[in-house]
Amino acid sequence: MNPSDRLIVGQFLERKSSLHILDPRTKLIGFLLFMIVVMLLDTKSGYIAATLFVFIVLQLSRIPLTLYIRGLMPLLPVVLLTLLYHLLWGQGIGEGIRIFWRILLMVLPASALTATTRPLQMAQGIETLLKPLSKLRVPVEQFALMIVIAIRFIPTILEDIQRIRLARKARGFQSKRNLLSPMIEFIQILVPLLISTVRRADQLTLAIEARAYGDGRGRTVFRRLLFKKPDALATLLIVLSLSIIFAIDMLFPY
Amino acid sequence: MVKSIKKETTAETRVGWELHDVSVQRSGRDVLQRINLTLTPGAWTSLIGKTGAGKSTLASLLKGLIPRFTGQYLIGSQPIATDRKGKSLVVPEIGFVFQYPEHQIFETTVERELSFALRMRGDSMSDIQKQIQNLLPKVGLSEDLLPQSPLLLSGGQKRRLAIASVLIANPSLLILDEPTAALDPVSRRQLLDLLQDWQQEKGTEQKRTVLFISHRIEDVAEYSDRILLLHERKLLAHQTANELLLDHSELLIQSGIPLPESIQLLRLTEQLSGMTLHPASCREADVLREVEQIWQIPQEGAKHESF
Repeated sequence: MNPSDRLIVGQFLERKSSLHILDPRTKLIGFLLFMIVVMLLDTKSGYIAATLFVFIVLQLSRIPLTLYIRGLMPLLPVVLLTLLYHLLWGQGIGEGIRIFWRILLMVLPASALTATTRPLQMAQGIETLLKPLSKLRVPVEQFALMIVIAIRFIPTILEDIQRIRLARKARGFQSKRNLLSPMIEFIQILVPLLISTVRRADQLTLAIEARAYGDGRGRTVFRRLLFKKPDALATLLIVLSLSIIFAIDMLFPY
Repeated sequence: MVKSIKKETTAETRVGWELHDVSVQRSGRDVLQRINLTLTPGAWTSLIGKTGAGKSTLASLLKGLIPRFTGQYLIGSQPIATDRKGKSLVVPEIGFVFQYPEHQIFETTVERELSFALRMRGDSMSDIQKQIQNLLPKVGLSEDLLPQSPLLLSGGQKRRLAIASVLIANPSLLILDEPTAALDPVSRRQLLDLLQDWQQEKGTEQKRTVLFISHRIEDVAEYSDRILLLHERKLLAHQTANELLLDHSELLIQSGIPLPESIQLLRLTEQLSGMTLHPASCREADVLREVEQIWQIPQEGAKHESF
């Protein structure tokens, strides 16, 4: 499949949507709160309410739902493994499905967050949110950049995997139709992938340093982050809907 | 039993590749529009076009990497094989070198990298050894490298290794997607010479077939029997280098491909002198000789007129 036909966590897509114009901090805090609520959910009704919320958020991003869904495909093996684990050693299929649902509820808003926030803005957002920690001598700026680069490289690495698989296919490799062969193939691809990734990281480090990063003076920013009216409204809406989700979870113990 | 059948189909190499009215769509947009094309067996065909013209898509289509398209793709007058869902299958007898070949190396040693395609095909170990020994000198790789990790080679060596590991399967059609990108002029020439030697290698009953993708016409004009010009998803020309550069250079300009410097000089000379020039070929030496004659530049080596 063409990589551009799907959306993977970490990819930014230029659109004109209400999510794109929000301050990254609003989105980050909203995301964090939602994560906490999802962790606290106990009942099916709560899960359904949270799913509805995620659905609305995805719609607001003006990115087709199919892109999000296709972006989930690489996660499928992980999900199947957790399902299997819970089936064999856990509390049965119900628990497995609950975990699967929970993963979905976390991954989908995460893709929406990265798809609607420019990497640089994200870095700025994380940085300002973590600023208080710099009093404790935590290198906040470096930490924020690290997170953003890590997120940004997810699609690149997936592309690398795709390239190597294609090269193997073009030279006559046919995957056998059994359960183990995808794993064996993955291990065979993993080694060259790790090497190329380490090499790329090395180059990136040099490139960043060549642009005088970390000479101690601290970076200035061109666009300052500002909370505006839409952010106030969005925060209000997020807090309100999260309370509703939580209330539903408490009141309808189904 | 299955294996012997497999061998037979690869032994009986199908030649002749034809596209009839082929269009490819991606995310609702056309990336190739009604392409009609016949690749001549034994010829070096170069595919020229600007970035985004659809060159790579056309190449992937020929290899069978594009599952769905409209129109007809015939290999040796048979339509391309499909799976049960009607998706095209990879064509095993076509060799494909992707862009930035050095990024496609994945094995643990040079030897394993080279033998990958042969092992997948099920050749015997002694056969594989023989073919590796045979190929190494031709691609300028030394035998000492065989047990080494391919990822420790130099950039140029990696590229040659990646190409060699496609050549080794002796493909009936070799497709190369911008293999000379980001190479210095000397390495570029070396690589092209290497490919030409391989294409015209003695001992094979016929010259091999090559489809070479590039966005610079001066790189390939000399080597190509035919040049395909792709512009905005459509095939604009399918001519020899001489025809395209000397008679139809306006097509190149129209598709945003810069003319080689020698041809630009020729056009300038024509404008200034008011004469129409007819160099013997589009080769730089021939064009320059023609230009020099007009300006009557005395030159010592100008005695040998024909070769």
